[in-house]
Amino acid sequence: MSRETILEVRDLRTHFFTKAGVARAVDGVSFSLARGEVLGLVGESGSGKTVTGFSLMGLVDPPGRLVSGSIRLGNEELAGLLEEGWRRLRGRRIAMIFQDPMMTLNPVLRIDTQMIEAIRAHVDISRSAARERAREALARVGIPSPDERLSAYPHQFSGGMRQRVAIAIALLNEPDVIVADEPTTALDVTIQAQILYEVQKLCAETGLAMIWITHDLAVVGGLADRVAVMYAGRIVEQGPVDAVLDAPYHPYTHGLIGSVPSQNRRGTRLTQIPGMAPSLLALPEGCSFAARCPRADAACKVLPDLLELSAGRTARCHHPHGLVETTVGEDA
Amino acid sequence: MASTETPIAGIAAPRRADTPFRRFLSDFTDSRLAVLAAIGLAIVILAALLAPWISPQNPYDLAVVSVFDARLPPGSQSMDGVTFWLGTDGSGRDLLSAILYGLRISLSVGVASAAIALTIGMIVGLVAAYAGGRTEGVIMRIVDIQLSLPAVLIALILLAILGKGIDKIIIALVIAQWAYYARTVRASALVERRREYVEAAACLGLSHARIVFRHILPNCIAPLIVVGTVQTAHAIALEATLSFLGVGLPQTEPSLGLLIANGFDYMLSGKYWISVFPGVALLITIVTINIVGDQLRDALNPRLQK
Amino acid sequence: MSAAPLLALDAVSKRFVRRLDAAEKIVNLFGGKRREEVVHAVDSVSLQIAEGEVVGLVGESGCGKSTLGRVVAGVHAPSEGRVLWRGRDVESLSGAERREATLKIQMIFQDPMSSLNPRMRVRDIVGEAPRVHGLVSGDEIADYVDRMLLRVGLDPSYKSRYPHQFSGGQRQRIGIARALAVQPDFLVCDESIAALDVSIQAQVLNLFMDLREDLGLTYLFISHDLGVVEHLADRVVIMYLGRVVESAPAVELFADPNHPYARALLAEVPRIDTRKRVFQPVKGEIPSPLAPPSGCHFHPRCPHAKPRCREQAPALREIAPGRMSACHLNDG
Repeated sequence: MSRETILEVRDLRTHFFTKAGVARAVDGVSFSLARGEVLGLVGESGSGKTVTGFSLMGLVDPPGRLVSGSIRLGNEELAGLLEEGWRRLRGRRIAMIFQDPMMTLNPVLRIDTQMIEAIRAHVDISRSAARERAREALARVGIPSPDERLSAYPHQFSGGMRQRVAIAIALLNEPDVIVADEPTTALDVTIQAQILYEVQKLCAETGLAMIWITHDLAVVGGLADRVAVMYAGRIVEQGPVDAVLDAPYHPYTHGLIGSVPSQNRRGTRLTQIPGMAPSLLALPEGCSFAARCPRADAACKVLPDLLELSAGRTARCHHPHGLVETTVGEDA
Repeated sequence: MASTETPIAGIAAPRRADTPFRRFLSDFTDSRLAVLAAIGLAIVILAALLAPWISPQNPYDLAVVSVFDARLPPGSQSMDGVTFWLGTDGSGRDLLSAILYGLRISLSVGVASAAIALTIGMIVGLVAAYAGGRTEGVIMRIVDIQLSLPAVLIALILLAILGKGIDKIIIALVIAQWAYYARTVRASALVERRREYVEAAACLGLSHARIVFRHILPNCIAPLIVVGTVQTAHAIALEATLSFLGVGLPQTEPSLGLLIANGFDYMLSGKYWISVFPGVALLITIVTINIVGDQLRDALNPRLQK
Repeated sequence: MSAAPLLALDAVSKRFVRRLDAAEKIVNLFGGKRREEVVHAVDSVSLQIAEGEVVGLVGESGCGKSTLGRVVAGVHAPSEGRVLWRGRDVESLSGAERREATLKIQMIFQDPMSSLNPRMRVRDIVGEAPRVHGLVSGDEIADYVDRMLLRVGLDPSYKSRYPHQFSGGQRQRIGIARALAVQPDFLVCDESIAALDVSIQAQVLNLFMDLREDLGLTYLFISHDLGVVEHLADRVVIMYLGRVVESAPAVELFADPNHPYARALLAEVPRIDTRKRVFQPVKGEIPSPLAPPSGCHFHPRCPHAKPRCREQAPALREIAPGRMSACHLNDG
């Protein structure tokens, strides 16, 4: 964990000012990311995980707005950048992969045209040098016969191959950080495994840092170094993957892991979290999970702080699980 | 562990107590222009409906129309002291009254032909989409051919054969326009047909007629309303064109188009009002319908709804 | 296994043909070589499901599992083969018997939005079929709908609302209530929880298990999620490109898969209890169902493929009591 920190997010708030009221999609999110590290950002729909990703890329459109907070990439502050500044950074130092690769790909242009453009937008090199670099990027994500594939159109690729091309494009300018938003959710199991394999290799070999946004705890367990669990716009628990998945502090994480079928005895009722996530437009006072939480009491009317409960692990809860075993005094 | 344990209490109330209609209303009123147009249109329709009661005179009652009042400019007074706010036409009729009565005819021809064309097109389009195969192929080829001919041309030919009269022009307009509705309904019915709720209806053993009319049709209404409004405006314009050309309505039932045509002869002699005021009335009618139609399209577009 | 199975498929195939349009026919007149495209979505599948059994049907995209489910549910008629309900060919039934067979098999769909008619109120969605078929008289229908909603864990006071006013999990419950309202014996669940959030998935799965216990329902549970199938199913059937490759009791299959595809699939499912694993994906993509490979469809991706696998499609044979597999390797 002594690796150099590349991305530092502090108290990020992105709110949407809609007709029906202010939706606090991201409300005070903080985390950091080291080189070569994969951070799994886990949450259900409406938890703010995707909006967090978009905020890091400067891609939040009205009525959404980055209200406050700081995003430091290396030694540059991104919060408050204007569109011009974002354009300079995006694709060069920080890149994004979407669930639907066609968000990145233009259906009417050949792959090489798109990739060469993406390179030459940031670096002043010749077309042939750029083409060579594009070829290398395709080879690096495991696309067979990259020379031929370069002159193909997006529709000539299968879903899995398209996602690889999107990753290759994200890699073109060797960014420091890639934000991946559910990139394998729409793919089949065997194809997902192929993509995860390539991504794993890339991060280990190149020191690329990655934020992997997903709802799938199992994928995070297999891929990530650290995990941050989001609920209703806030991070409720953060820490090394093994520690969090083996002994979660926050009752929400606890419930989420417990509701995965393989964590239950075959054929028995699953542990379930009752109820459903609150509307971002009408968040309750205090802890937003309290209404669904078996441990909630009067204290939960006050929003708990994100506290370090053991080395490198934080949780936002008044009544965390497993505190008897893990002494609180450890970090004192 | 009975299923009653399923957490009813834990399930929060559904969001917002709204109905599709209330949501539509809130979307529609987003545009101030559209609200103004809707008000304008409502006034036009009211004026047409109430023409017999609000017109200063009955322009077709020969007892009150006097040829001596012919072609008076706006604001003049008749010999009996009645003010003609918009002037009079070539036969001495009060132009304001003539416009109100003309509006009545124009609107009813437009609405009646649009309603009939909509019904025919809707049924044909639904049948084509649901039946598929050869039936659909034949129906849609007819629609294609129909749409490749200009509506004015079709109407002109038909009226040349049928002759003048309100019923004749409505028939001509229906034949010229049903294909637009058929195409619209088929397009949205094809999309709806593939949705899982239609498969669910089949699983539930519901009849074809029930699936088509109770399940698919209500979900195709939104684009139909939009096309319906725009096509009503087209029908009104088309009728005006035909009447202007002298093949539409007879002189006994003067619509706005006919009023314009009648005044056209006097344009060059400086008596502009006889043609221009009916023209303005026609313009207001068509423009307000089109603006309302545009906003309907935005407000009813399911892709823009969340 | 002595009694006639509740539902049996006898060599069922389903083909979809895309016919030539007018333009293509004209091209052919001038010597073009346009052909009708035929997809063998389901290719001679036989299957027996006993009363009270839960059969999990697993496979990746294009394997035909959804099409098979729709043939079972009567949404699609089979192109070849027979569907037998309580030992009788459904196609041969007519009138009241046919209706009975139709209603006894109901389907729960994937997309909780598109599976409910957006223009109908909940009470009509649930109450329409029982009223039309005269299962319930006019003055009892309101009570009946209330009972159905309670049964699936919904508050009956919301029955005048429209589907869009409910969350995804609630909509799925409405879909289940609609199916239960015609008193089925058999539910085909096509990816019925795939579109839901993890914590909501557990709730709906628990509902399925409760209904099985309370109403003695039989299930065909179609899913790409092996964890869910492992938890729920008595028997698992794995499909690849329209054919069944393996069928076995769930416990045995997950302990020791026989077919190379089944092995690959099981190995690559991300599991929450395996961390920082090295993904070792099976190579190659899923071929297009428009042009499946010759012989055994899996041979281009199979690590054990022999020349014979390319030429001859292996038959589905019993390899142990109650276990079937379609692989030449079993011939020794």
